[in-house]
Amino acid sequence: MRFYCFHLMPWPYLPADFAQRYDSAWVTCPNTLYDPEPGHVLYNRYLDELELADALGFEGVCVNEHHQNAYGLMPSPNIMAACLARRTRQAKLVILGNVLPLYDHPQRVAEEIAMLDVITRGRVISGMVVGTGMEYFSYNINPTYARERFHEAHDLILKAWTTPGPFSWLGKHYRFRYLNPWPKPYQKPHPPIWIPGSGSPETMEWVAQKRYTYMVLPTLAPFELRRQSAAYFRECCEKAGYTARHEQIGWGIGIYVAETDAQARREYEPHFWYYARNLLKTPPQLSLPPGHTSLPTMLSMAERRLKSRPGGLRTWEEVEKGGYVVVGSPETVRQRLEAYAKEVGFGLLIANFSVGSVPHELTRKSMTLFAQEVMPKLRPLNTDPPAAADAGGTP
Amino acid sequence: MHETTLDLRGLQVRLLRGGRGLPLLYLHDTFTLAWLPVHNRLATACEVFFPVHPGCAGAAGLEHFDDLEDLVFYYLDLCEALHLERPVLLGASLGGWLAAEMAVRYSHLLRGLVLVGALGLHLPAAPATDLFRLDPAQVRAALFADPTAPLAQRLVPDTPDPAALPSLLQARQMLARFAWQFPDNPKLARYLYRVRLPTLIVWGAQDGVVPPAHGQAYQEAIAGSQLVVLPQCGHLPHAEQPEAFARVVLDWLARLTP
Repeated sequence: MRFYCFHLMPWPYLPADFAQRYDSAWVTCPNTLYDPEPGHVLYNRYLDELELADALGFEGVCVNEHHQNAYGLMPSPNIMAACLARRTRQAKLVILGNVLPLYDHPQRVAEEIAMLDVITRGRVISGMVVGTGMEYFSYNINPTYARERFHEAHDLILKAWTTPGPFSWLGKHYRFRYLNPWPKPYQKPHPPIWIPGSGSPETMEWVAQKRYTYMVLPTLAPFELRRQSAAYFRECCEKAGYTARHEQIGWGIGIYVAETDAQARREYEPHFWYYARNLLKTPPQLSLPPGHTSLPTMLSMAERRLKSRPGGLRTWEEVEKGGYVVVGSPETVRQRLEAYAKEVGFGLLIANFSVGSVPHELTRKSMTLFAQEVMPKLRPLNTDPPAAADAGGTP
Repeated sequence: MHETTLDLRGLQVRLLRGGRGLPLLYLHDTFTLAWLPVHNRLATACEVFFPVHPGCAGAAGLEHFDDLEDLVFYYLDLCEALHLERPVLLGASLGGWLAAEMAVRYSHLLRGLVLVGALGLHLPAAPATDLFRLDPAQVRAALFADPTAPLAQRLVPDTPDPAALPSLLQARQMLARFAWQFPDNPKLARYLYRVRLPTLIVWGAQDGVVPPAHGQAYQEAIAGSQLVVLPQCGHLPHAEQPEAFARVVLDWLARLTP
C-alpha cells in the first residue's frame, strides 16, 4: 500500500446559519463570505499540513481544482503545487485537476505540468478531470461539450508532451497552428496520469483502456457505491485485456485518528457535519447540468448518487454504517482500512485529513498518529510486483 | 395529423403534419414536444409542418449541431426536401430564435414570420433567465403565469415519471447546446433590419424566461411588425393560452397576402 495525503483546503468560517440562508456553497455563494485576512493564515496552514505529510513519510500530497466555492479554495492547483515544489523533498505532487474542459488553451496545462515536473526532477503526477458540474456554470463552458473537450484536450496535452514540436493541432474544440511547448516534462514519456472519478462508467472504461490510474474520489458517496466503482473499473481492465494492478486503483477516503474511538468521534463529528451540511450543499441543477454526464449514465446513476450524498445524511450512525469516512483510534482505523483494502484491492490510499473545519492542531495530531501507528501496519497490503509497479500510470 | 419520417442527408427527421393551405413551418420549443390541440386549430388555415428537432423526443443527431447556424442550414435543407413554397415560419422560445436567425438571412424564401416568446436577444436591462440555475419549482414560476396549473406540473414535474425522463433530459441538453448561460446571439439585433417579411410577435405578459421587453425590442427592430401581448400568459402562449394564441395567429394569417 502507498499513502497519499489529500487536501481540499475548505473555507471553515461560514456563518452558523449558512445552510438555512443559502442554497449552495458553490457558484453563487457570495464571496463577501470570504475574508483574505484569515484566508492568508489558512492557505499557509494548509500548505504546512501538506509539508508535514512529506515529513511524515506520505509518498505524495494531493491538490485539486474547484472554482467559486467555499468547499475547496484551490482554483489553481498548479499554483499550490508550485508552492509545495521547493518546500517538499520526497513527496510526489499529485495535481487532481486540471479541469481540462475549462481551458481554451490546454497547452497551458501541458506547459505548467512540465515546468513543475522539471523543477521537482520528476515528482509530478498529473491528474486530469472533467470537473464538477458547478465549474461549467462558473466558467461558462457549455456542459454538453464536457466529454468532447476533455478527450480532445487530453490528446493534445499528451501529444505536446511526447511528440517533437513544432506541430499543428486541428481538432474540433482546439486549433493551433504552432504547438511547441518549452519545457518538456522531466519524466519519460510523461508524468503518470491519474484520473479521479465519482463512478461514471464512461470515464472508467476510458481510464482502463489507457491503463491510467483510477482514483475513487473521497467526497461523494458511501463505501458500497465506491466499492462498486472499483469493481467496475477492474472489469473494464479485464475487458481491455489485462488485470488491474493494485496501484492502478486509488482509494480516496476521509480519515480522522485520535487516541480512542470516543475521543475521535467527539473531536471530529462537528467538523464532518460542517462539511456535509455546508460545503457539500449544492442543488442538483448545479451539480448535474445537461450533458455533463451522458444520458445513459444520468439515467442509471443520477438518482442513486444524489440520494447517497452526505448532504442527505442525518445521523453519525448513518455516516459510520455507510463508510463515508473512517474515524477512530489507530487500531480501529487500521482494522477498517485493512478490511476495505482486502475487499476492494486498492494499492493507493488517498487520505483526506482536512474534512470540513477540523482545526490545525487536531489535523496535525490525526496525521501524525496515522503516519506512525497505522501506515506501517498497512504498508505490506496490496503491493504489486516491482516490475509492474514501475509502470505506475504510464500508458 | 399524421407522422412521417424522412431522411435528410442521413439524419432521420420525425415530421408531424396536418391541414391544408399555406405551408407553415413550426419550430418548436424545448418544453412542448408534441402536436397539441392548438396545432389542429392552426391546421384549419394552413398546412402545418412540425419537424421534431434533432436531439429531441428520442431523435438522434444533436452531435452534428454546434450552434444555431447549423440548425438554420438543416431547416433550409428540410424546406427544400419538402418542397415548401415560401412557408410561414412560426417559432416559439428556442424555435423563435431559430426562426429569427433564418429570417435575417433568407426573407426572400419565406412568406411570413411569427415569433413566440423568442430567445435570441440580449437586453441588459431585462436579461433572459438562466433556466439551468433553477430548480423545478422555480422553472415553473418562470415558464408559466399559473405555475400551479396541471399543465405546469406536467411539463415541469418535480419528480419525472421514469418513462418521461429521457425525453426531458434530452430536451434540456438540446436547449443547453444552443442556449447555455446566455440564450442569445449578440449580433442578432444588429441584423434584424434584414427581416423583410410580414411579422407577428406574440408574447405572454408574465413571461419569466424572456421578459416581454424582448417582444418590444423585436417589434421595434422589424419594420411593420405587430406585437400582441397575451394576458395571464407565460413563456409558452401556445400551451398556456392556446385559444387566445390560435385566434391571434389565425387572424394574422387571414390578413396575410398569399
